[in-house]
Amino acid sequence: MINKKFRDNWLKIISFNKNRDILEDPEKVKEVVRIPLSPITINPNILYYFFEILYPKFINDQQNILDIIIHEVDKKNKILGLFLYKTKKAGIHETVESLPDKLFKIKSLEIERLDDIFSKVQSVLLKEKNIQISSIRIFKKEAIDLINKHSEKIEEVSLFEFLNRIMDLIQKILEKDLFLIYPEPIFFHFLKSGIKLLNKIRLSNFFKFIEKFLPEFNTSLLINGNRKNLIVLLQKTILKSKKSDLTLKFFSPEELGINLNDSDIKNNLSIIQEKLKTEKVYCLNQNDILSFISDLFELLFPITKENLKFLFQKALFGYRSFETHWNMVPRPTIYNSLIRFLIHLIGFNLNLKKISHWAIPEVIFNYIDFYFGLNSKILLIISDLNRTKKIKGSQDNFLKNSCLYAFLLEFEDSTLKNIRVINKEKLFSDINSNSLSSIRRASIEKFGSPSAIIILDKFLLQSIVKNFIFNHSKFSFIPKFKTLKLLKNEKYFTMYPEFPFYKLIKKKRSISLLKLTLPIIIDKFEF
Amino acid sequence: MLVQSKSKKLEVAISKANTPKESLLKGIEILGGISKFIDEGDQVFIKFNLNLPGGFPTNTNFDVLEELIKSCKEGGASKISLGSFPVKGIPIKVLSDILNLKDYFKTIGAELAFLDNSNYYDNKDLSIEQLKKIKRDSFTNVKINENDYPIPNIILNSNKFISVNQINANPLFKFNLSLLNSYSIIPAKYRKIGKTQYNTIEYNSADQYKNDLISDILNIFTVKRPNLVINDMFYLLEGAGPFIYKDSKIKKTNLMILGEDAISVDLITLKILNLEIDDCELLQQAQSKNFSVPKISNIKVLGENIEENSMNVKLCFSKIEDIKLKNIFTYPGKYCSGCFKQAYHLINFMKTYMVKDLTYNSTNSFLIGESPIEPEKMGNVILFGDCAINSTKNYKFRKLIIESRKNLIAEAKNKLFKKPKAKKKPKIKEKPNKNILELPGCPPDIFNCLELIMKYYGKKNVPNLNLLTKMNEFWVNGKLADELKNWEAL
Repeated sequence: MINKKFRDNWLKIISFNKNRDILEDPEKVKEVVRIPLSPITINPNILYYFFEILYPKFINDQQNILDIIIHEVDKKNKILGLFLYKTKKAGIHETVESLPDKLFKIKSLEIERLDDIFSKVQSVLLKEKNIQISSIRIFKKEAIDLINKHSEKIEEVSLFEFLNRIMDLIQKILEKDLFLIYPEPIFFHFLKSGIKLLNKIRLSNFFKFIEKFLPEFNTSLLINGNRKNLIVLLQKTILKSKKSDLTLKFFSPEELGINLNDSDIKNNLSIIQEKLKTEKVYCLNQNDILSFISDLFELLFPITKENLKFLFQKALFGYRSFETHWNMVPRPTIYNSLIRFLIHLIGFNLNLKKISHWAIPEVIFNYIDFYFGLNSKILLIISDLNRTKKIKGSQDNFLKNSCLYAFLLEFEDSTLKNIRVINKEKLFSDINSNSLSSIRRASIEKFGSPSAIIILDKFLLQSIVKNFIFNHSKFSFIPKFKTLKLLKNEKYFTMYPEFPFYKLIKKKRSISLLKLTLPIIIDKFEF
Repeated sequence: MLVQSKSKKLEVAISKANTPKESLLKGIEILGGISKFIDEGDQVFIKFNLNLPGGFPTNTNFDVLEELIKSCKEGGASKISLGSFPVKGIPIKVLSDILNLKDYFKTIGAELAFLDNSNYYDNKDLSIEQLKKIKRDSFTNVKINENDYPIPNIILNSNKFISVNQINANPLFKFNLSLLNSYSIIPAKYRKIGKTQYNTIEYNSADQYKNDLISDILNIFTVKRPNLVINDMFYLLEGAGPFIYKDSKIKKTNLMILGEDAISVDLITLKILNLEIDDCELLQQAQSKNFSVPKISNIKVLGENIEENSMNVKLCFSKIEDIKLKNIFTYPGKYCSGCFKQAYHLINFMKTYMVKDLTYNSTNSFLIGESPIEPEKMGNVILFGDCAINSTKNYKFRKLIIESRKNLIAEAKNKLFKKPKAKKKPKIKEKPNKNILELPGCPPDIFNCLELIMKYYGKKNVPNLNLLTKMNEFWVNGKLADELKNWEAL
């Protein structure tokens, strides 16, 4: 029923998990497995560790799971397979036992009440097998078909292709409720709500959209865990064909032949940098990452202002905790006290360790609330001026030709309720001029009156991502000032109506703007 | 001058739907359709909420206005104008330019009325005499109860007057009722309540400010009673209002209350919000001033049921001392509603937009009203309003008592030669306390207060306010605002 390669890989993982305790040194196992449903090969011991820490935290922290495969025919659910996983440790699948299909029945309507099915299954298994389960996972036959299709030659596809495919798979399965789990974990709820919010926007397109803004990078991460350290290699290269190539690899220090010394993080990072030949190496704490992801799953949907503010604060707090919660090699010059002192002398307080994590979100969200309102509709247009290089800005349909994507974001009580993709042709039909007022006029009839129209160019977004996110701590002001200049250029960033904060960005000189905003971005009491 | 509606029955519609547009249309339909209110060729004036250059619900929901304009056109209206006077110091043109209102309303087939003529007074081709003429021609002074009120002619001359009122929490009247919406058909300058003829203590005890304010509101209301009143509570602002503050929350009720009689519509609105006439001084005074305030039982409620839709909502704080603010300790005296209203806005503004500034400046005592409590902690003392400034002239905090420094050399000599300690008392010096910020006015003006706060603390200590001031230079302190003052002085 299931794809052979998928099954073989899964059984190999189960077999390793079963025998792991009797292996002399599981860290040094030479064989590799694939992360299920992906082309990424990994040491089975690392995968074991992932399951061990992630499954109990985000899915279920109790033992024993039953997988049920059903097929709905004539409004009746036919059970095609029952697989019992006895897990000594939550999430560690060690054995799989196929149970008779006729052990119990699931009526068509029952699928709406997973708690009832769970109770029924629980009592049958107690009676028949004398075992208690903690969770049931129901796969509809269509889900298995989709998984099979996804798994075809998956080991041969690139990471980029895989990410597109897995996102499509997840979206199709969740949209049609082809996979159900009880008790429903927060993580699952997060995925379902996220897909609902995207409102028919394909997750894979969303990923492609994000991917376009990422510059080339060559980075590695050392994730410090309580029991185990992990090394991750992350690379993005742009090929001659202008397509991008992503790399994601997981290593244990032993695999790379590195002996990590707990007391000298910087030396460890330098060794990893040398070994993997990466530009930067970051050291992150496993517990911090898990805590952030956990908060993200719990708080993100619906995306209320308060939750978003909290997550933003948390991310900024993490960022300011350089050398306490995270570290990096090479050490950015910006953290050098003498350099900071010299910058301070010319009037700029640029201590990134004093980033005002508590005040920045407040300021941003309060201004958004005031100008856009608590209920608002924002028409966001992402343009690509590079596509229209030959077309003059004053020419008719310039906006239409440069428009890459258009979204309508609908907020209610400062909570993002809906994202709609707006058809470019529909938006720009009947518009002959390039003025934003004409777009507003046209969109009033088609989509209701938007509170604001924002046009952001792809080049500006790429520049922000590159200079303020990827090169956040690089001591080079010219690229950062260039990005600020782009932000002030109407071609790259326009807003309609022109709210005072936009006018301030547009009309203030970059240095004055920095001097005005830095006291809010960075806390005082420097030395 | 008074335009009476076609029907005199006190009918109020409660409509409920999935969107504000649907709710409005349903409400009009329940009342008998738009043709009941609009005749062929009518010139319609729509009074909506236009307060600040911000979004909903500080200003009316534009979706509702759009649908109403459409309905009026269907009803045969020949011209539809919309307008309102914003808060003090902001010309309509500034708001229109920031929010692009002129263009927007033109697109949907109506016209934004520049009631303050701010579309003229930056025109350099016009002489002062011409401006005076424009002003003369655009306003009519209406005398009511011996008070003169300048009312824009466009409102007085309109055949039909519609009030679209967004229901937001209000610190003085619990909610912004339609009576309050009508009040802003006169310029903000003329809405100022003064205290010249009263004794301060009596003024505060009797809350004369509120009495005068209510009298003014009711007087203005009689100038032009609306033909159709729409209390839009589809999205209601609760917690802190009527502008958007940190504690403001939107409550979705899906309801709209409509009718021909503003007082009946307001009464039903209050009833849905579980408030009685006794909870609303505005309606109480209307009753005592012989306005026809009907009993709820005498109002015919159409559409939805009151009981099934009634709800409790979070009101604004009714005492200044209840609003908790980081590093600011409030010491109240006896204050009037004028000071309360302005202090409420100032404190909520600080809480929302000056988070970092409040953290940077620890220990501030905020004194308000007549004879406030002496502050326990020193630090910065903020005196809000003339009453607090004048009644604390002899307070302890006004002077700092400094003991003179000990003569350490003499003490050392005494110890060395074992001389008995001198029983001289240390010298005590009194110095005027310079850490006092006076925010004068009766009641003080918010923009003026913010300027004084900035000057007192210095821009390095109030980075949020500094940014805000720079940003506001694009509207509040713009050239047009100065020209507004000159225009008003004409």
